Amino acid sequence: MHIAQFAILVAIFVALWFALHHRSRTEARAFRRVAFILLMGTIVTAVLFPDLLTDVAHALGIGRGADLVLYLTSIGLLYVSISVYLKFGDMDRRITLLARQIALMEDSGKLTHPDRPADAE
Amino acid sequence: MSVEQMRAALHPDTAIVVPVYSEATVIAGVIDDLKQVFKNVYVVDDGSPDGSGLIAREHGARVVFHPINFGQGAALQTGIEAALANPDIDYIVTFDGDGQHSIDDAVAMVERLRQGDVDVVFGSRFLDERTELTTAKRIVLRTAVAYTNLITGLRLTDAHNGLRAFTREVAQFIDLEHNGMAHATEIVHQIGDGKFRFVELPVHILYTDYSRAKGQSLWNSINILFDLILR
Repeated sequence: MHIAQFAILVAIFVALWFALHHRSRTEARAFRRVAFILLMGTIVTAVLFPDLLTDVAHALGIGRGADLVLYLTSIGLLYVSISVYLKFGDMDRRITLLARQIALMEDSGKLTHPDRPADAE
Repeated sequence: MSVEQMRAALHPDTAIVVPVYSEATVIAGVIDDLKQVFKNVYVVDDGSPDGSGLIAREHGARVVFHPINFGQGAALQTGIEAALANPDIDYIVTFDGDGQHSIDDAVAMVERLRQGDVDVVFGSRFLDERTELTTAKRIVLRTAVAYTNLITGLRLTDAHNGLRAFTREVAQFIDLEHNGMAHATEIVHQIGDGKFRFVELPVHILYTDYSRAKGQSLWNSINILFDLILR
């Protein structure tokens, strides 16, 4: 296995691990921000110095600069999809708890729904 | 005491929790049947657009309304909490709103709990031959049970049956976080965690055209598996 293949596989697992274990924590937020700034910097550099990208790719043993970009983008996308999926799950749970409180308060007569008469019981 | 009153006096210590989503065509019958035997019927209307909850209330159920739709797991948890708010309740039975469960089975489960040697009674479709299942559904359910047994360490023959009964203590322990159908596995998991004593009783599921149409697509098992693994 080539060093680049190995590095990319490791990066995939690191991204997975971060997505699964560091959510809604301070470190995760910091990690995302640093990654974002690095990404912006990389994009700007790659646009300004297209040959540099190819050189880096070659140094890693990857054929073309475009392939390097593809791999990095895939890893980023994987991380983002998992984070967003988990984040939505968290939000869903929070909204459920909120709605359950409302439902139970209406049931116990502490709230009245505008379109629904209170239970006779 | 009239016959009506005698019936209403039955099982005052038991709450039937019925999660309901858009069952307007059948819910009245289900509630009427339940109210013949059980005084406390708690319906959770999970944001039905068809007024199922109001129909259930007219037919004598105590109805809790979710402001929006969340899924059966969320509705069950709400129903359990509503039932626990009533100090008279010692036993809770979960019962599907589409009419596929038998009230005799529910009564048998509560009677089993009353013997005091178990905390949870699960209904199983696979302990006798009464329930007719398609081959595909049988395979999916069997696989699901195998998976549930694997991750929970319990030994059940049917883990994904909506008909189950448990004591107040178990109800207080259970905290369902999966809003969708993954709650069936989650509930087994939590009962395993709580080291509760359980037993399975054979139940008869009546698959009608209505319940089949309302029931889950077998494809949903893939979604459930995904929900359980990744969260």
